[in-house]
Amino acid sequence: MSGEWILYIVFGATALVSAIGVVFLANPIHSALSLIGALASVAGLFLAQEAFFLSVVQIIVYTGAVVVLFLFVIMLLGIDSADPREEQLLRRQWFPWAFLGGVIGVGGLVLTITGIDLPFGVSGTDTADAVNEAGGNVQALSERLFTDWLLPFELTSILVVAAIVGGVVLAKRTKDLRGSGMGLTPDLAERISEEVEADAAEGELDPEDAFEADDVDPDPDSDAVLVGETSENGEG
Amino acid sequence: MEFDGWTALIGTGTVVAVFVVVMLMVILAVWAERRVAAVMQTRIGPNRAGPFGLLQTIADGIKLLMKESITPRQVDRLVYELAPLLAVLPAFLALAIVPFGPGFCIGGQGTDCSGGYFVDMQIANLNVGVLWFLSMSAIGVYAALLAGWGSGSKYPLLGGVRASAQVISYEAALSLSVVPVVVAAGTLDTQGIVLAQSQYRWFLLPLFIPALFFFVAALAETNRPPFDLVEAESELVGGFHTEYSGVRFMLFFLAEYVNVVTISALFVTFFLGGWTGPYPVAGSVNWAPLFGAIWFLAKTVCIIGIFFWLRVTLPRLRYDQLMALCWKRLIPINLVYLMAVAVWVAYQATGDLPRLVGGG
Amino acid sequence: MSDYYENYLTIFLFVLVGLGLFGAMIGVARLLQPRRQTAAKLATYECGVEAEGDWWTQQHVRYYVFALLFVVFDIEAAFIFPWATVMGSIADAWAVLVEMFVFIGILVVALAYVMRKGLLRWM
Repeated sequence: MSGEWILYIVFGATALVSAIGVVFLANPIHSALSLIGALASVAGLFLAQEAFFLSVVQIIVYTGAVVVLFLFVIMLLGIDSADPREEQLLRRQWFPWAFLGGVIGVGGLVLTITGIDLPFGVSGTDTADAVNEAGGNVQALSERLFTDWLLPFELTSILVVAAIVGGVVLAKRTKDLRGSGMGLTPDLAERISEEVEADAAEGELDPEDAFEADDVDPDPDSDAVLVGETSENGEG
Repeated sequence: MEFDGWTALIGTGTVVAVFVVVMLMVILAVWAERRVAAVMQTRIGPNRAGPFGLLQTIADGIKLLMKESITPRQVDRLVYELAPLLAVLPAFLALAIVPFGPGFCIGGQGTDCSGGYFVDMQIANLNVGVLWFLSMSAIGVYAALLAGWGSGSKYPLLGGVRASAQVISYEAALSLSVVPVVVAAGTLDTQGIVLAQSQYRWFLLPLFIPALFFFVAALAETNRPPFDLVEAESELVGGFHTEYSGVRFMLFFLAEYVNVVTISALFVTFFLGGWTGPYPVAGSVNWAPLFGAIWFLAKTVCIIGIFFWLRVTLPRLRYDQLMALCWKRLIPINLVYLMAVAVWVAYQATGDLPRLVGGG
Repeated sequence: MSDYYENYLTIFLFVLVGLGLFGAMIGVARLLQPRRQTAAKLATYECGVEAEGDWWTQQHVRYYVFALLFVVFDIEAAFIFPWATVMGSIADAWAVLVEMFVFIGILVVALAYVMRKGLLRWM
């Protein structure tokens, strides 16, 4: 068995297992961890193809940066976002799209296995020898990138700028709406105060409980409950 | 070169040698840091365990091994246990591309070492050496983030998010300050970068600003003072490793010091000519590789010394200052400098002027 | 076996030794350490008082902005390193130079935009 085969089997298996983990693990952080494993395994697959540059870039960009972004987004989510009812709703809303994606994915898999060529897409002409002649992976890649694929390369930067603008608009809006810039979006605050009122109406939140939960403020109004949410106040 | 028992032995030997050298350096570094700090603060420092207190680190290590490693009830077991591994393993793996000395030939003839075995004084001579280092430090980010989250506690969570935001920001600055070196050397291979600096054409002078920024980013990347906001005691208790004790706590510290050694060694490789030195010129003497390694380690120790010096001298930055320094100073200035270097190299590649910086 | 796989085989060995070291330390500590757990020891640390409320707090959106910028600059690094490698040796150095400057220029505009919007300011 050649080195390529061993690497292919090992990393292919880990990629598959971690990808299944991403979908089925309940905890978002565990999913993200699994995603790290899946992306790192893909880097291993690149390694088996002697595409070491691609492999390292895969680790730097995907494993290193993109999943960090995901994790930061998870950190951004408040406690309430784990509300199971909302999750159900989300699932129902997105089910058609997920189904469509699944169909496309299975279709692609079938096409790959049967080996049918698609009418679009470009297959590379570079053989391993040609790459070696150019002086290695990096050299061959840059020569192609900065000549034949110049336009897509420049467009990448515009795509990236679009992503930044999107992120800025999101962050800016949340920041402006937050007033002091700490902790809560108005709709979240509204929802919490509604829940607090509901709890108070049901008698779940009597003054004594509130006193226990927060020694400073015995008043069972929304402020006492908000402390947990806005505890980042102390950090700024 | 054939793959046989000898190649395997050489590979294993290199791995073991690097481990031994680096562990020794870490042990000495921890001791040296405390002694240097003591001298600068007119204290005595650890002087009891062994001559000059040299065995203090080992004593501390044994103590930490024998301490109870408490796992608090609220932790997420998987993430909590995984975080120290994600700190230690990338720290060691980044060492793989550090060229400790020139390669040498055992039992072979000529420059291509035919019939013998060529030994690299580094674990792996990768074509993408620089990127390998960057990818390993990228994975290192997860240690803080996951330790913070997995602890199930408020201070570690805050510390972890802060630490990872700091590390990713300075990671961007770090990689940008390496780019001018790659432009000047024309290769991503660390051994090639050293060779491009032979005959005292150290990149430190032409690339002084990237070198300075690399060092600053290295301080922040390894969470060393004055950028140790991660463990700002007055605000965050111990930062992301507040809930860790005993051996797991030790592993975080081991990772930090291994990172310091690695990044100092890479500073020497990128800017201080690596293993090149005044004596002997490579290949002229049988013992050239040994001298190379000695020069390399001597330079590395000097850089580690600057880490310690700065720790005692500088007060800690504020978090907003830290982020502003990275995104408003280091990265834009680095980009401008990079463009200037690129223009210079392009001018030399196309014009008639002799090359002053590096070789293609 | 080619040189290529040999290099990565050494790294694989390095990974194994690293894992072994980690495992050995944890294992030795498990043998040596005392295990006397009390409720107070297992409690979450919060400066000596009992932990209050939920440990999970929502983090500030500014961290997200930095993570996004980091992704962008990482993508830039992925392109800039091959460029830097061939810069001095490629046939038409000036053309490649200008191409990369346009790329960097667009990203600098993005950074300036974020700065202008005040999102790099910590508040």
